[in-house]
Amino acid sequence: MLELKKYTSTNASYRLGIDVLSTVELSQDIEQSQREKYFIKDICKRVQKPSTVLYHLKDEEVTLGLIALSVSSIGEFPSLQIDYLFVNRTYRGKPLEILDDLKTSTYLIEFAIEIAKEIQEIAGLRYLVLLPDNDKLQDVYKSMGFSILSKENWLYIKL
Amino acid sequence: MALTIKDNKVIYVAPPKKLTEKEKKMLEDAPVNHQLIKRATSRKYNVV
Repeated sequence: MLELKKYTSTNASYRLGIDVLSTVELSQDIEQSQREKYFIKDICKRVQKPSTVLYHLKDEEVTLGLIALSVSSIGEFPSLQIDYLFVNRTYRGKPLEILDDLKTSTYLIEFAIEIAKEIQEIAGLRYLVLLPDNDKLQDVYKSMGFSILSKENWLYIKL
Repeated sequence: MALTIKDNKVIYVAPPKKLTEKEKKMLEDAPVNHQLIKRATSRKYNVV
C-alpha cells in the first residue's frame, strides 16, 4: 500500500538518518551518492530540531522517494520551501501506475502543493519555493510548473 | 532543495530576504496554475 510516512521532531529518533539511508538506493556515481548521503543525514538532523518535516514515500515498504518541507519566506512573502527531494535510483524518471502514472518527483511536488494549500487556508501562504541542485534539475522543475525568480536560481509556484 | 555542500559540509541555503522591485512584481503578477493545483489537491494522500 502506498504511504507517506511523516517524520517530525516528535517521532524522529536519533537513528532516523541511518534508518532512512538503509532503505534507499543512492546514485551509482560515487560523488553524487556521497552528496545524497550527506543531504539525507543533514535533513534527518533538521527533522529532530524541529525545522523540517520529512515525508518518506513507500509502496509496500519499498522506498520510492523522500521530500522535506519547511515554512520559510521569499522576500516578504510566506512560503513553503522544499528543503530536499530525493527519488530512489530505481524509480528515477519512471511514471508509476501506483502514482497515477506520475513520476515520483512529480507526485512528491504535487503532495507539497497539497500541504501548501492546507497551510494557506490555516495561516496564509503565497508560494511553494525551491532551489534546484543543478541546471539540469532546473529544467525538470520548470516542466512541472515552477518559474524562475532570481539570478540565484530560486524557483516558485504561486498558490 | 535548499542544501548545498561547501568544504565537505552541508550548507543550508535560505531564500532571498531582499527582492528587487522586478522580482516582487514578478511574484505578484505570476498566474496561479489552477489546473496543477486542482490535480494536486484532488488526490488522496495516505499520510501515516
